[in-house]
Amino acid sequence: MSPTHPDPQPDPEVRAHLDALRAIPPRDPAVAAQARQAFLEQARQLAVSARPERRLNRWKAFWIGLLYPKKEVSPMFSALTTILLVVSLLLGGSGVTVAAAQASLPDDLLYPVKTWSEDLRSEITRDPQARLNLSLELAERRTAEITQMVARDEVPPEPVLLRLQTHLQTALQLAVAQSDAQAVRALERIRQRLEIQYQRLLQQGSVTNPTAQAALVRTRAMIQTHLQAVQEGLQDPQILRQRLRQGMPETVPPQNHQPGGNPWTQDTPTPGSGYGSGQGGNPWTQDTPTPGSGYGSGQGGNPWTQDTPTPGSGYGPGPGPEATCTPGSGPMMPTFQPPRQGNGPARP
Amino acid sequence: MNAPNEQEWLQAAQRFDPEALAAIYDYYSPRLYAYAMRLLGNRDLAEECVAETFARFLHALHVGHGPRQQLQAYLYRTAHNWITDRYRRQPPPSLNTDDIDLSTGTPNPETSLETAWMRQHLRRALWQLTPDQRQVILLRFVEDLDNETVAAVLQKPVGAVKALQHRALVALRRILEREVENVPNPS
Repeated sequence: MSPTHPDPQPDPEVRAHLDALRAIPPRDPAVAAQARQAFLEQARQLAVSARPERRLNRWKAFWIGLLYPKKEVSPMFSALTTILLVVSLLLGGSGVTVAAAQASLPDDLLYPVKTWSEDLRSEITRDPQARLNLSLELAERRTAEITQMVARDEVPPEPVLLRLQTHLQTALQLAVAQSDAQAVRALERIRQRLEIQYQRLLQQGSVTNPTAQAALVRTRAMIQTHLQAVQEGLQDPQILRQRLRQGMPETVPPQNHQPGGNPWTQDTPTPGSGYGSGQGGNPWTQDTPTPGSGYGSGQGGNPWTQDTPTPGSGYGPGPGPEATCTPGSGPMMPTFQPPRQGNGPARP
Repeated sequence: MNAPNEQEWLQAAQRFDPEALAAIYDYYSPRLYAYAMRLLGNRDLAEECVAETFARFLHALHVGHGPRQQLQAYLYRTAHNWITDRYRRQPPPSLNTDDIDLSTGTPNPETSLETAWMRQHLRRALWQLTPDQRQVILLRFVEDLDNETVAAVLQKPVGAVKALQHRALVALRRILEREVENVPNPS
């Protein structure tokens, strides 16, 4: 006991509890003997060999540990592997697999490698300008992938479209995060590149697969929505900042984009089931629609209002099923209004 | 309380002398078993703790590490670390275990039940302490080790161990009060 420090002792109640812990049931002699035997056997096996040069010493243990790493070493090995991979990416993306993956399309096996390497680049890119350029580059990649798949009558998966939307929104957010003058310059750059993408999408020839066609239309609408946002931002970056804070409007959901027919199936529909190619009218009702109710066979215009629209507002009764889109006719909304011919599984 | 010939045992153990190893095992394994049993309240776990502690001791000797002195402190520390590691990511062991043994010679079963009840509450309380606090309480007041040995086990100065001991007792008192308030006495 140290003379300078008191030796704290438990009070009687705590002491009584501690004393209760002293007594333990007797150890099973058979188990104890067995354990002793096992210990001595283990000691015999590990005992030093007769020849000193064959004994395991600290140096030998070090080299053995280095040559045959135990599982505890694996995390470091894994970290080292990751670092080497990242360095190889930074030095020009020289990884053979990663390089091969760059040309892959969403239905290829290597596509996850491509998106992984993109995510990694996004993670390690810190400079806002570089990040903006990267977002635009990735958006162009997504658009190119969608175009290529649609050209082959293949349907681009939903995650690809979502990634495109993320890239576009990231680009806009990075642009308006700067001062007004810088934001306008960045938005102008975005506008030019988005217009090129939009033109490429417009040049896409006819597509026989209606689902692929729907994806193409949706992609166009997405680009156009962001183009309109950019136009607004060019006039007043503050308005765009506010809009982005409130959240960019979603592009029209895929089922509302069907230009006719149900893209999810081409089978003959079961009458009244609501599923099928969409030529069977509105499965939810066969009644004559109440004017303005929005319910019925779906041939009406905008059920929400019959008022005269405010020019440029984008609201109003709508031109009806045969209308064509006018780019820039409404703020922040895709101008594409699909004709409501088939109702298929779409909500009434 | 150190074994009188601990240093000799250690030197012989480093040469893997079977007699010394057997002597070390015979002297310390019952103590380690009791220590683990008191904390875990389970025979199988206590046996596992003893086996693992001695296996680690042998392995340390084999690779040229292991204790150069204070064998007792080394073994208690190894046992304590094994218990702490085992229950670091999972709840402490079930405390309603097989140490409620009415055949241990207590003539009055009621007294035995009361002791068992106190034991369970103490274990619950001990598991709410930090590992160091738990260790200092057990080693000082149940295993009756002196401050110097406890300091060697914890690898801390004696003064720090006393400060830890003080905090541990205060915390234990508070937890026990709360435990007793919350749980009805079965008797």
